Order: sequence, then structure tokens, then C-alpha cells
Amino acid sequence: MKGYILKHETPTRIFHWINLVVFLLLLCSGLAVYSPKLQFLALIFGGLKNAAAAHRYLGYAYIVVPLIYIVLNFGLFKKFLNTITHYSADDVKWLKVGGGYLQPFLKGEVPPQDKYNAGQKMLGLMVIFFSCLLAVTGLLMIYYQNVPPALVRWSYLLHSFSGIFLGCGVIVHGYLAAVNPSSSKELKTMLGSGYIEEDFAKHHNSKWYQQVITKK
Amino acid sequence: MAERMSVLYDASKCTDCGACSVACKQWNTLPAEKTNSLQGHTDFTPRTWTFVSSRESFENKKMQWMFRKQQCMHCGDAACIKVCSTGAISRNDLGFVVIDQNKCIGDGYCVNSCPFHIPRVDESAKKSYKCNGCPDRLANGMKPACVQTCQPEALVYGDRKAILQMADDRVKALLPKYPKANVYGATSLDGLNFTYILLREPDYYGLPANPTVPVELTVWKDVFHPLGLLMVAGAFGMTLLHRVMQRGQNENHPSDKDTGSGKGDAKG
Amino acid sequence: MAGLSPAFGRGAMTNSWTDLENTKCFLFGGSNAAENHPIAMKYALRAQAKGAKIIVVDPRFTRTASKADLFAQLRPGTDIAYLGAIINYILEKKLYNVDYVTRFTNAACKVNSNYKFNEGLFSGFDEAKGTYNTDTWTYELDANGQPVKAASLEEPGTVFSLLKEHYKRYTLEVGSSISGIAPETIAQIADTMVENQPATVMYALGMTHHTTASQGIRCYSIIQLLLGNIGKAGGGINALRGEPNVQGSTDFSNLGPTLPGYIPAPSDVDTTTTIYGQKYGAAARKHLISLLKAWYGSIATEDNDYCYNYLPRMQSGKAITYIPMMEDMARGQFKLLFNIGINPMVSIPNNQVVATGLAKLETMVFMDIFESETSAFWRAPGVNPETINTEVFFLPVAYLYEKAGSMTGSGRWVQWKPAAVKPEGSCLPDLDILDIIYHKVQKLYAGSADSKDRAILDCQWDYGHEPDPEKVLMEINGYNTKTGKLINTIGEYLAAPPGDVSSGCWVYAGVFNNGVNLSKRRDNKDPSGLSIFPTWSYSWPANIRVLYNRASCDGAGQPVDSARKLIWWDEAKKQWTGPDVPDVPNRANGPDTPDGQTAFRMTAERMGRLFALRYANKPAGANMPFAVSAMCNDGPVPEFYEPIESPTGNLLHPKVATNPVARIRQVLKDKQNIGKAEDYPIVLTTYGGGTMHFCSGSVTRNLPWLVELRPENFVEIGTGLAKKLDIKTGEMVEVSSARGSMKIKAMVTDRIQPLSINGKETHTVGIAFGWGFVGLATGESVNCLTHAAIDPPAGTPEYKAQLVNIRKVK
Repeated sequence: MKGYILKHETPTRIFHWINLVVFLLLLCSGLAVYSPKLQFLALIFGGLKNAAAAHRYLGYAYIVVPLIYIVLNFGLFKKFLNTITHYSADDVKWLKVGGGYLQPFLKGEVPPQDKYNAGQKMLGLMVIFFSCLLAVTGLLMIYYQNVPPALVRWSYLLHSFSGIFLGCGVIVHGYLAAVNPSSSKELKTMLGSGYIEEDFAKHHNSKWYQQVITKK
Repeated sequence: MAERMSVLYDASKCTDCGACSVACKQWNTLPAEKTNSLQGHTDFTPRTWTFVSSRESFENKKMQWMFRKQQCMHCGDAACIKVCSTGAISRNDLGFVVIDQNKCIGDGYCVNSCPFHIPRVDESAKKSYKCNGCPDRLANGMKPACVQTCQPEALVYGDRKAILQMADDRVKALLPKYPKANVYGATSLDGLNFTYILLREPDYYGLPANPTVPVELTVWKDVFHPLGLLMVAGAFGMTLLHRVMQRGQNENHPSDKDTGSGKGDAKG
Repeated sequence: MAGLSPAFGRGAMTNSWTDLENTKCFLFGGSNAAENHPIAMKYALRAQAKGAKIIVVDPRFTRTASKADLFAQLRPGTDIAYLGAIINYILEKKLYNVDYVTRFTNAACKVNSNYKFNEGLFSGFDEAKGTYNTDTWTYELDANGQPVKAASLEEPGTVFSLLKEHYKRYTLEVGSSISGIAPETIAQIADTMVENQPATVMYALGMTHHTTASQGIRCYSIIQLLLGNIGKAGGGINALRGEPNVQGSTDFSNLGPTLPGYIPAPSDVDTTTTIYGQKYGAAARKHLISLLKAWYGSIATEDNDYCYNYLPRMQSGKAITYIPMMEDMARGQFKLLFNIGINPMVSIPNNQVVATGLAKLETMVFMDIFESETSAFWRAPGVNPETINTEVFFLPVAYLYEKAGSMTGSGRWVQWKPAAVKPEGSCLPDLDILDIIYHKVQKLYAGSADSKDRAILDCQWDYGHEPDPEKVLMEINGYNTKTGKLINTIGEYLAAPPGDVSSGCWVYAGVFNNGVNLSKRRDNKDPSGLSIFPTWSYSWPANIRVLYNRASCDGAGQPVDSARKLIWWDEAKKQWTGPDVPDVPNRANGPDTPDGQTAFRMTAERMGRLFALRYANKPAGANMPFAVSAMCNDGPVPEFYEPIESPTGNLLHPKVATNPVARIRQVLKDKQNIGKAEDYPIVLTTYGGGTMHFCSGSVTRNLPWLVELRPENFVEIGTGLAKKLDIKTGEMVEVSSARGSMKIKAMVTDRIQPLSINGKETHTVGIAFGWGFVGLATGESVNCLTHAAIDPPAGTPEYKAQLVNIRKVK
């Protein structure tokens, strides 16, 4: 396609959306039993008991699906991991100016970014880390009969904190990737062909863009 | 608001007859279960809400055989109420902790949080069960089934103030014979509605000396819980605010403008 | 019971359950009340909360012991050894109540100079018959036939000095060596009872299941008479009777050799009521006649000796208690057995005899609420039903709460209970079933000319079309035979000449008053605060709550304990009065009369008997004695003998080791052998199933909630012995005796410690008896191990002290 470059391959896009749906269902069912004030969320599942059951099954899915993706697309995952673990001075500066999204509170020129900007890199790390924490604490909670009670109680705290923290992250990420005008083109890319407009990439992810066209 | 009522269990009078456990089963129509001990139940199950446990010791050529009736302690500050995800557990007017089975989803949070490890979840029914203090009996001016049945008068039901006074007087009378006799549950956890007179240190009976609501629960429910709700609300709120504020304010990069089609449009 | 009557004149618990709250010291000797009489324990615990001391003596540290202020473990069957040591201790240290002993007992009476005791035998032993001739067990009598009284207790030849002489051998060390209780502990038991009075004794089957049972209880009677505790609130000797209305059933001759009201049953040589009266006393004769009047009504007249010949009579010298009956059955002497509410396959010792006997019956009529090991004997493990020809009829009966009637608790309170619910299906109350059977039998005999059938045809049996149990109680209460009116008081009954009153059980006379059934009374007022509850039910006799209560007063008839005033002599009103009914011969006869100085008016000599000698009081010119004191046929004073199966020899008299009168019968070859200590070195004691299982378990082992609490039986093995045999809790072991063997799970516990007996380490194990092959919960019956030697006076078997061996089952 002229004027477009490939940003997200098909497996990545499929995985992204499955994972998101699973996560959102987990978030809803989790919040339903998190607080009596949010019990209305259980209606989606047909009651609190079903919500709790659904949460357990979806929890297993939340562990299995990423593992399948990683095993089948190890190369892609390796590249992703590489990107989100490398930070330069540009990344630090990006963070200092809030990526340009928090004007008039944080002002300044937005430095050039990699395939994922600093904020997205951090989100990636957080998603991986807190998802692992959710999985471990979640399993401890399901098998509480065989686990020391103190460990299970800390799991309640860590699990709900991780879930809520990631939930907030998803809200912000979702907003920026899908709603905020200056960045919402990302949605079409992830949901559509996987290709992003060259101009967009040149502006937002210039360092990556340079690498891609140099390869061409 | 009714007076806080309590049950006093006096270990110096209990003879381990087991009538309390049968009365509980009869009143609550709980089925008999297979036990794996030669001397009856040694632990709670979803269908066994009270039983008497015993401990022998032969020290200095003297034999001792101590009994303790076990059941929900009906804590004044109950960890199970704090932790229940569906709000199924509550204290009634008389001070007893009851699980509303209509709301319970059997997630087992109460099981892990109880300082005495009392509630038990029936995994197939996904419900949690424990002694409920016979609320239907109490509401009709009767005593709990176990108290009514106890024939050595080891169980007494009454106004909490009177119960605590009785306990103090009794322990005073027991001290010459049992120097370590003590009242258990007078003040711990805002007072346990099922208060014990023990003849030895709580540790000997397998009881925590100073039962408290586990700190991680307090951190979770009292600190993090409201904070978490705030975080979620905040995330929504901030993004909404951002959208509102961004409208027409920021000069977007031309490349950000949506040109209407997602593919192959070369307009810049 | 058979120990209490010779001592005091009545064989019943002297005080009451509620009276226990007045006690300052309990001796639980042969009772595990916390587990087998839990309601009684309630009152003991109330007393303890008020400062009373609880002493428990038991082969095991039981749940009762867990409440004790003083616990002593003893070797089963050795109670007389330590109780004798206590008697000796009390006598040597002069801890006895001189006034009480002098005033109310036969201590100062002189004994026949031919009475002897030597090397384990009393004078008069007939080696061939295995019985005693009691001619020397008598008082020295004066011209009027009264016992000669010495000027002082210590005079040689008095009951008191002979008592001292007899128990001189029972030092604390001897008592300890035999029983295993430390000497200082025996002394401590005595001191505690002496220092905390009124003291009471609580006993049950732990005392009566021995070949020296009656004598053991006689020891209690001696101790309590010496200390002056009989007849006092909070004192007494409290026999804890069995819950299935055992007191009521013994009141109604459940014991073989008695008729209702503890009238001796006549034997073949007692051919007329006169001869009967000459043997047993005019009082007993009158009660017998009243009984015959109740059964035969106006047909019984003086002319036909009140239908006395209708009564079946025992064969002289033949025991007819339960065990001999089973042995006769095993010899094939019975065709039909009515087995009503009892389970001999589980509860009779040496139960191989029962199995053999039941198989020889043509018919068994089984009345109970559940099938049991007895009704199902024909399919017991190892039995081929094809070889059994017995036809078993199972008549399902109404349960306890489904039938109206009275029950009599150990404290002699006759309490009426209505039926709470109707029986299920076609179940009927026992009364209804017996009524149907009896009327049918009468019909079948109608028109017979045979004189022996008159006993059935002339019987006045009419309690209504659907028999009304209250009509039965009326018959028991008794009627004035001339007016046809119900008797109002026992005084009215006693005053009437023979034949003018009828009574189905004379001790219950007065349970109706002015037509009102007093056993229905439920007014729980207790004005005196002494837990007498005079208007709750009816306490036989005469609503006396504390028997022998005259003994709670001094010579002037005033209470010795100001906090426990039961009765007293009111000089102004010239009568005995008080919150309890005075147990005196005549309320108008004051302390200045002989009547007013006796507390034990039911013995022939009207004294408490330290020595239970043979005595009948025959007024001058009478052709028969008025009353005859009861006796124990194996001795006038208790002597320690080893159990029939014993791990050791008899320290006191090795040549006469066991009770010489206790009979050991052999009916089945090789199934009734007595074991030797070399082969069976471990002592076995047996007991009830605690609060979970009741009697033979035929009811409770079918109830899920109870089975849940006690799903299986186990043998309690002390940790010391378990270590030696390499046995752990939960492992199967085989327990064997000279008669049989059984497999059972082990429970290793510290509750039984090894004892040093005559210098040797001795171990005891314990097994609950109420298990069998029928029910939700099953197990082998321990009575396949036990032997059936019985106590000569009472006929109770020696369940509590046997010898066994134990090994782990691979």
C-alpha cells in the first residue's frame, strides 16, 4: 500500500483483541465481587455466582492465550520485548513532557520515539508484570484450600490492586489509542489491516520509521 | 436496638458429652457425616458447625483432659464480614454473625480470613457454612440449640454484661484449682460473642493468644479498597476531562487528522 | 441394692439427684457419671461450683475424673482393698462420729461368740455346697430376743470391736499393694471425706459388676455409717440406676428372687403364707397378701390362703437370675422366650452361651424398636441360618416418648409421663401387646378344669379396652378391698390388716392421694432451699426424699446441721415435722420413745447394720417375726477377694483367693474356661458407651447423629503397654481370653497408667460393651471374651475384671 507501513502483524492483532476482551470480562467480573457497590456488573454474567465462576475460567484463559501466542510467534514477541525494555534519553524526555498529551500542564517539544513511545513501553512492561502477578495470585486464590491462609490474604490485596491498576492502564491506553484525536489512528491500525499511515509514523514514531524505510 | 447478647462456655463444666453437636445438627437439619477419628469430629465441615475437641496430657504423674467446644466465635470485629466480597455476612441486632446463603457465592474468602479458621465452603454448592448463632431461635426469645441442650450447664446465654461478670466471678473461683484459668474473648476483636472460660493458656487449646483481624485484610479493605475505586473512577474521569479539554484546543499534527478512509489514501 | 438393704433396710438410693447440691464431698467410686449419668453430673458440678470436692476412683481416667479434685486409679475389682483400708484408717484415727454410731447403728451389739473369720473364710462354710450356714452370724440375744448391747463400743465381742479386728489387716500399704492406689492417696481420700461433710458416695455398675459387688457396697455403708452421713441432706449412698427405668423395673421384681416391692419370692418349701411369714416376717407376708389381692381380687380370701398356691415357687437352692436362666436355655430347657427390650447376645457375659441357648428355642417373641443381635442371632457372623430352627416373631413396640406411663428415677421419684407423639405404623406400647396376649391366653384356657390353670383364669386383669396405664398405677397404689376405694397414703396401707388392702407394689402405696395421681405433679417449689421439691412427682415411700432422715437429728430430735434441716421434733405440736417427710415409725412418737430414736426402722433390729447379721424380731407371743433383716449370703462384713480371673494372688489369704461362694458354672465345654494369668496377663475392664452409645447400642447404633460421634469401638490401651506391644492408635488388634477372641481398633492413651500390684507392673485395658453385628455402626461384642461368674447376693456378673491377651493383627 502506498503511504502505509506495516506496524502490527496479523497474529499480534488477533492476540491483542482476544486478550483485551478476556481482560475486560475479567475486569467486570472481578469488580462485581470486589465491591458490593459494583454488583450490577454481575448482571452481564447472570448473577454473582456466575460472575465468580466466569472469572475463574477466564482467568485460566488469560494465562493460556498469551502463552499460545508467545510459543507460536516467539520472534514477534522477542522483538516486542526488546523494544519495551530499551530506554534512551529521548524516552526520558518524552516522559518529562508527558508525550505532549498533558498540555497546558506539561509543555515542551516531544522527542523522536521508537515503534512504541515511552509511555507505551512502560505500559507494555506493566501489563506483562502485573498480568503475571494476577495469574500467580489468582491461582493461589483458586487453590486456597492448599495454600497457607496468610499467603492467600496477601493475594487478595495484590490481585485486586494489580487488576485495578491494569484496568486504569487499559482505560488510559484505550482512550489514547482509540479516542484521543491526536493518537486515535492507532485504533484503525490494530483493528484493521495492521498498516499505519507513513505520515503518522514519521511524526509519532520517527526512529522506528527510519529503521523501516532503511530496510526497504 | 437490642442488647448485645452472648454465650459463655465454661470448660470447667463441659464433660464432652457431644449433645451440643447433636442439637445443632437436629435444629439445622444437618446430616450426619462420616468421621475419621475414633472420638468424633476433629474439624468443621460445611455440615458440622460445632463439636467438642479434647486434649490429654500426662505431666508430673498428673493426668489432665481438657475439653473445648468449637464453633464460630461471633467476633465483635469480624474478619469474615470485612472480607466477604458479596456482603453476604453481617451481624444481627443481638451480635451474632450470620451468613446470608442467598448472597454467598462460596469464594472462600471468609475461610482464609477467620482468625480461628472456622467457616467451610461446600465446593459443589459454592456456599460457605458456619454456626449462625441460631438467629431464628433467638428472635423468638429462645436460647441457641446448643445452650438449651447443654446439661452440665457449661453453656449460658444472656446479656453480654452479665455474661462477662459471670465469667470473671467463675475464673476467680477456679484459680485455686486451675492457676492458669482465664476468660477468653472479653475484649479481643471487640469482644467475642462466644466467650470462653479456659482452664489453661489459650495456646494449649489451639487458640491464638491475641486474635486480630489480619493486617493485610485491614490494608486491603480499609485502605486499598476505597483507593482502588477512586483509581478506577479517576482514570475514567481524567480521560473524560482530557477529551473535553482537548476539544479545539490543541493543534493537531496534520497527520493525526482522520481523512476518512483507513487504507491507501495518499492525501496528507 | 443387694448391699444397701442389709445395711439400712431398703435397697435404694438413699438421697435424690437434686439433693446432690447439698453435698460437700463426692466419692465417685464405680461410677463414670459424666459419661453414663450425665444429668446426675449436672448436680454434682453445681455442688462443685459451690466448693464441694469431687473424688474419683476408677481404673481409667474418665471424663468424670477430668473434673475431679482428687483422682485415684485402681486395679479393677480391688475396691474392697482400699475401702477396707479407709475403714481401718477411720477406726484407728477415731475419725468416726461417736454419737451417730452409738445411737443409730448396731456397733455396740454383741455378736454370737461362735462367729469367726479366719484365712478368708467366715464360720459356717460348707465346702461341698459352696455356701455358708449362717447360724453363727447372729447376735448374742437377751431373754426378749433382742440383741445384747454392751456398755461401750470397744468392749470385746461387740460389732464395733469385731469390725476393728476384721479391718486391722487392711493397712494403707496392704490396700495400696492390692489396688495400686498409693498409700498416701488412700489416706487423702479418707481425710477429704472426713473434712468435707456431708459427704456422699456415688456408685453404679463399676461397683456392682464384680463377684464381690454387694460386699463392696457394704463397705460404703460401713464408711457412711461410721462418718454419720446416712440420712443427711448431701450425704447418703447414691446408687445411680440405669436410665431404662432400672429403678422402676427392680421395684417390680426385675430381679429374679423378688416380687414387686422387694418381697422375697417364695420357694418350694414355703408352702403356706404362714410358713412364708415365719421365714420372712409378718410384714413381708402382709405385702405378699396385698399383692395377691391386687392380682386375684375378691377371689383371694383367707380361706384359700389368698390364692398363694397360684404363685409359681422357686426351686430351693436354685438360682433363677438371668445368667443361670441363659445357661438352662443352653441346656435346652426352654421352648419359648419373650425377649422384651433386652439384647442378651450383646449384654450377657460369655455370650456363646446365649447363642447356643437361643438356637435351642422353638420360638422367640422379640419386642423392641429395632432389630438387634438377639433377634438376628440366627444370622450372626459364622452362623448358618439353615441350622437354626427357632421361629422369631418381631413385634415392633412404641418407643419411650410414644407411650404413657410412669418411670422411677434412681432417687425413687415416680414421675408420670404422657405420650408425646403417637407410635409409628403398627407399633404398640408394651402394655397393649401384653394385654392382647394375656386376654388371648385367658380365652384359650377358658373352661379348663385343671387346677393349675386357675392361676391364669382367676387373674383380675382389666385395664380397659385399650389398656390405660393409669389404671395399672392405681392397682399398684392399691385399694381398700372392703370399700373399693383407692388407698390415700402408705400409712393407711400399713395400718390395715392383711387382706383388707390390695397393692401391686406396696412401696408405691400413696402415689395416689384422694384420687389424684401424685406422680403427675410438676410444681417445682422448694421452700426449704434444700432441693427437696416436695410437690414434684412422688417419692416412694411416703414421699420421703432423703431416706433415714431421722439420723440428721441428735438425741433430742434437733437437726445437727443448721444449714441442712430436713426434719425435727416439734415439742409444741408433739410431732416430727420439717420440709421432708419424716422417716420415723410414728410421727407422734418423740425422742423420748424407742420409736423416736430409730433412724433405720426397716431393719429388723431398727438399727443401721455395720455387721449384717442374721436377725428377726419376734415380739413375745407372736407366731412369726415382724421383720427379718436382709443379709448378704457371702459374709456379714466385707472381705477382699481377688476377681475370679486375677493377674495376681490374694495377698491377704492366698489359699482362699476368690469369693468362695461365687459360683462358676460350666454348661458349654471349652467355652466357659477360666483363664490363668500366665496365658492372659492383661486385665480387661468393660463399660458403657458413654453419652454416645447406650446399653447394647441396639437403639443408638442405628441413629446417624450418634454414629457420627462414635462410629466404631476401640480398646483403650495405656501408652506404656502399647509401646511394649508396638501398637499405635488406629491399628487393629486381637483381644483374646480363655473363652474367645475379637478384633478391634486400638486407641492409645495416657488415661490408663500401669499400676504396681503386689510388686508387679500390671496393665489394664478397657472396651465398651455395647457393640454387635447389627446396626448402622457395628463391631464385635466384648462379651465373647467375658466369663459369667456372678455376685452371690445380687447375681451381677463380673464384667469389670477379666483377663485377656492382646496382639497386633498383621
